[in-house]
Amino acid sequence: MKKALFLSHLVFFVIVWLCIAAYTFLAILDPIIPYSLSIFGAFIIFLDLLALPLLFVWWKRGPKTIEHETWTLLIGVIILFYWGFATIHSFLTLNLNDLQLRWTAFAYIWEVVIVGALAAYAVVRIVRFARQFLEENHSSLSPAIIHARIAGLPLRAVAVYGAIVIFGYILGSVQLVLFSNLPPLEVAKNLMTGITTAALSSFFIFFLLERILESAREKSGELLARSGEKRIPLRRFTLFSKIYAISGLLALLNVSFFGTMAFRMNQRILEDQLQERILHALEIVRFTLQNKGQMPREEEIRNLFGAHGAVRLLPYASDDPGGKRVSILRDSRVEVRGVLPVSDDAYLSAAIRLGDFDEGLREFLRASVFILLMILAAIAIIGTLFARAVTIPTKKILARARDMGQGNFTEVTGVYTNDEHEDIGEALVEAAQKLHTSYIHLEEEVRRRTEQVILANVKLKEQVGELDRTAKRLVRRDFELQEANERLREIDEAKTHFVSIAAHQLRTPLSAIKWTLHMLFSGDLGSVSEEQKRILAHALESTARLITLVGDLLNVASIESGKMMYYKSTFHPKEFISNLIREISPKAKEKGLLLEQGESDESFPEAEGDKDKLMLALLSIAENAIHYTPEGGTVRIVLTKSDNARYQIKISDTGIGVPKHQQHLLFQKFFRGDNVIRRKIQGTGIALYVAQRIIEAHGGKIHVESEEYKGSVFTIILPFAGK
Amino acid sequence: MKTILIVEDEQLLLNLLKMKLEKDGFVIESAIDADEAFVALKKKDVDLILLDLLLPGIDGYAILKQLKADEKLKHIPVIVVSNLGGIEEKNKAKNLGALDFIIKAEHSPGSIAKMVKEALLLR
Repeated sequence: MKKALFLSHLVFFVIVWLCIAAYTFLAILDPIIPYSLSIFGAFIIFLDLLALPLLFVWWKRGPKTIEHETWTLLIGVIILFYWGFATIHSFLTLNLNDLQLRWTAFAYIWEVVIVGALAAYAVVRIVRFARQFLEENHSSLSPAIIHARIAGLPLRAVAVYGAIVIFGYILGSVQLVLFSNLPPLEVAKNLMTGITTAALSSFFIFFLLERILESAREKSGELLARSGEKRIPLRRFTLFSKIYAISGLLALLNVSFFGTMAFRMNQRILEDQLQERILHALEIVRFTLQNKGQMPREEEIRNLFGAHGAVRLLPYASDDPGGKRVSILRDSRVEVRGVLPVSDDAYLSAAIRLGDFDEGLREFLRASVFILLMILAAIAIIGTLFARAVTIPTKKILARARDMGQGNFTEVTGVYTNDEHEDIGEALVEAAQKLHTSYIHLEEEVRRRTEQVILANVKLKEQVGELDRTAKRLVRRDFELQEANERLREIDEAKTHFVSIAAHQLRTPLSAIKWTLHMLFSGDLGSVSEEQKRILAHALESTARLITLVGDLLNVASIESGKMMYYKSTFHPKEFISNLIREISPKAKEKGLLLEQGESDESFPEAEGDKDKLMLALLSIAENAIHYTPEGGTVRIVLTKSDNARYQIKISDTGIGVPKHQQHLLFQKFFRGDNVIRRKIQGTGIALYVAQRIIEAHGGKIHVESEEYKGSVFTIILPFAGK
Repeated sequence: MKTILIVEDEQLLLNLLKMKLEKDGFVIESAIDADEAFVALKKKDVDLILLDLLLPGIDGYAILKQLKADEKLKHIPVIVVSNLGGIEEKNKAKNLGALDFIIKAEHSPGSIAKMVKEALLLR
């Protein structure tokens, strides 16, 4: 699109440029053309020279980098100035008759007003449409579509406008040709001027539109797809700025060169004109002289020869033989002199000051200076604008980079410069977006993690609290347990203490009684009679019984409290039985009983147990046997092997036995059979209980077979060592 | 004339025993606690000690220990005469160096005298 535009404009410009160049030369050559028009020609040349590279730049880079409002405003101002100036100046200085002038003026005005109005209307409509389109659609349509739809808008607008303007000029020119006496050259010039202005102003419109579109695009915040559009890298831009500089210089050169040339040529033209004028004026004066016989009035002379001009009638020098002729003298640049013979002996000599008629030249000078100044200013301004093309995007990018550094990622938008700046901008936008996203993610992550940590912390605190409470509970429990233990220990100690102290406490007074009675009985405390002895014997018996009872009770207490200690040792069963027999044989003898011992020939392995306690148990049973067997009876103790693991002791007697219905109660504490109670036989009923407990504590067994009046058999089974 | 030291805090028992043993021809020294016992031992050469266990102040075990630790006294045979009735007590006394351990309630002054004679004969 832009290529077409560019080409069309290029063609126009080339043609126009050539025309204008030709026109300038023609203007120089054609004396009718006022100087002012040549000034305009120079001006046009300048604009063309300026616009050409700019056009090239704009085509390549798009209406982006330079701030178009300012730039286009400048162009617009220049063009408007040109128009206005052209119109007014033409109005004032065009060397045409009134009608032509009027028509020309009218043509110009017609163009300016109507065509301009039409063009402006078209532009406004297009702009409005573009704005509306963007505002309505930028959210729903993709940027590419939007861009495609409106990309051609400026071009279309400009085409419309340009067509209108050019048509207007053509029409105007046709009008001028038909209805005015303007030479065709003038018309052609007019046409060319019109085309130039059309082209320039169409550029102006174009860039204005592009700028509006750009603003709209920027405001929508989207970087529209610019694929397929060529970008101008900055280095090409520098090339263009060089071109611009060169063309600026060329314009300067052009103006100065052409200006100087034009000035010189115009000066010559002026001189020629003045020479003609002088001749003509001299002829008028001669005519006046010949017809009226006098010199024209002062006023007329002033009219003819200018304010500082003079005319004199001078006699020839007498000796001029030759022909009298008109001679035109060019003395100096300041004056033009003319001589015209009036008669044979007089001639008119006139002088016209250039200064009186060089208004055009001066004007030209002024215009040149003005143009030069304007060129300089334009160079400066445009140079600045070009520079701004780099600095502004750079500043924008810097601002965006700073925003990123500050963490304001949403502010980072693209930089629309259609060159590397844009690329940088895009990169920044991407980076900013990515950073923004990652920041958001990070924040999110941090927030999540913090939440997790907080939760975990809360849980931990709870757990710690739990543990703390549990620990406290444990400490308390431990303390309680310790206290309980202490108490148990105390009770335990008390029990042990009791058992041992009880023994002592009970036995001590009993010992005293026994010893006293014994001493009495044995006559150590004085002689005693037989009767006394008998009584004492009974007393001693009771005492002995009491002592035995105490012993039994203490054993029971020991067993019951669990304080009965068993001291394991190994012993030989045969030896054990021998000891037992030895212990009880005096008692048996005393009671007049036969003690029998039976023993197998088998070899016995060693037995294990508390020898003393077992002895006590067996003694108790044996003593029981003796006790409950009347005089003349038999007590028999037999040791055999029960099996490979155990040995067996049988203590049998021919005593009163145990009633059958009470045999199962025999080993109970304090049990005494009915038969012995009836017979008032003394006994505590503890011995068998203690014996059973001791035997069972050794892993052994005891049982009884008994028949009243016949006797009892106590069978004790005990294990060997290691069984 | 053999000297017997009886360490016993029960007066009646002490008197009865003393009576019996003097009758048998022994010289009796008596003490009711450890201090008196050691004083008596310092005063006289003793041939045998009848030692009760439950005494005021330090008990018989301690006295026994001390006796056996003393160079001059450890040769004297000691028979522990007590009413504390267990095998543990017997073993403890025997381990500490006592010659024998008898329970008062199971003996009489006469039987004790007999034991004393036997013990001294053995020496």
